[in-house]
Amino acid sequence: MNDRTTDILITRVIDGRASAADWHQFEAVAEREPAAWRDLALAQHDDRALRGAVAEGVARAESRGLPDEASIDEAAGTMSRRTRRVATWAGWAAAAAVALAFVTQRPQTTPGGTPFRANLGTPISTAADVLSDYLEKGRSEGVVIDELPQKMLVETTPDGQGGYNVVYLRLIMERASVPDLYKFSSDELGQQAPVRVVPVSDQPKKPFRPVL
Amino acid sequence: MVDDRKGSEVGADSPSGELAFSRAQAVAEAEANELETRSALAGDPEAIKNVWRRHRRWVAAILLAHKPRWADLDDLLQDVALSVVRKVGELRDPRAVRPWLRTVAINAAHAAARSGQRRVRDVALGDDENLRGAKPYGPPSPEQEEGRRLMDLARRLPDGYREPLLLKAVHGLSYREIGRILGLPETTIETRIARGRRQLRELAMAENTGPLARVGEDKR
Repeated sequence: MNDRTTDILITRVIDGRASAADWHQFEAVAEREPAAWRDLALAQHDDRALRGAVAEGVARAESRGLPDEASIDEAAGTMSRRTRRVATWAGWAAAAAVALAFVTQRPQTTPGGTPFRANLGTPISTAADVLSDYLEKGRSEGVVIDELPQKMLVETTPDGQGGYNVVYLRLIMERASVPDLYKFSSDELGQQAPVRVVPVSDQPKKPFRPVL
Repeated sequence: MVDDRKGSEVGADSPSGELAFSRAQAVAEAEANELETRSALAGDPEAIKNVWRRHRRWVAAILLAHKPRWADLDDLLQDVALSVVRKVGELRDPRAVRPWLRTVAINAAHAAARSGQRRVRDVALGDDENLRGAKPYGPPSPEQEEGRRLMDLARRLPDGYREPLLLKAVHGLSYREIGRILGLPETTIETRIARGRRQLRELAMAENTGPLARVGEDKR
């Protein structure tokens, strides 16, 4: 008789699977090794406590219904609105990201095999170099006004090595010339439609009428 | 030498019957479940809900077995539930539902461990779903504390022992069911549960927790 056999007999007793032969065998073991009774009692105690802990989790699962498609879509819409809101105030940063994506997606080598060089004449080595080049060239062309010193923190997570991964937005202020300005508004059917924005200075001045 | 048992009853663990099913009842129920699962895979919303209701209890045990201690079980259940709604229709074989759900649950728990962040849950006031699971705050009872301590110790067991042990702690889950979830024969499940219990006890002794430790404290 070994520990493995005793463990299986104990498990069968705990789980209500012990046959008469199993009980007979267990009693024979316990007669030779009375500690088997203690092992059985402790295993029953552990099982009861563990069942209680698992039951807490199971109770939570039982109150967890499935989300329906509508609520998922609503959640997705909320996320989308959140994204739009971020995009609204971070519009310039997003524009910079688009420009960066354009620059960095160009091939790293020319058809002749020589390393690609930006117009500024410096080899592309890091993303920071590219952004620096972009800011410099943007300033010289009057497109970039400046990068704001503040950075917007989006998310921090532990990196597992005692440090943190930080996600943040860099804010770059740009200038652009456009023929017209539009904003999106909803029509009577709730559909999004562009509406031309008239700057205040272009609006006809109304005569002042005091409220009586 | 103990006998190696092969399951001879459908839905029952022993001749005495841990689940009081006759063979005919069990076969009929299994067939009905398979039909419903097929409907779920075909996209029937009501069938999908029933499939989730049938499996969510053991999914919670899998999440408990794999999640980091700090991760919120409700959030992880929500992740799995979302996957069920969105992706269960991609399955073709009803028999694949259990292993698929287990994989989804393990992935959700591991993703939480990787992200290392605790999500803040928005709880809407008056939301019945949130209130249903709510319990009054208060200090845990000694039994609850003991259960949580053992759960922490169980998380340190190897995967192969941890999962069967926690699944067996789900009330009413038979060895046969556990075997189908883990894709293992019943005899292997029995051996692993037995070894898992032994290892858990040894860990508890090493940590000086459990009833014997309390007896020692009382004597002092």
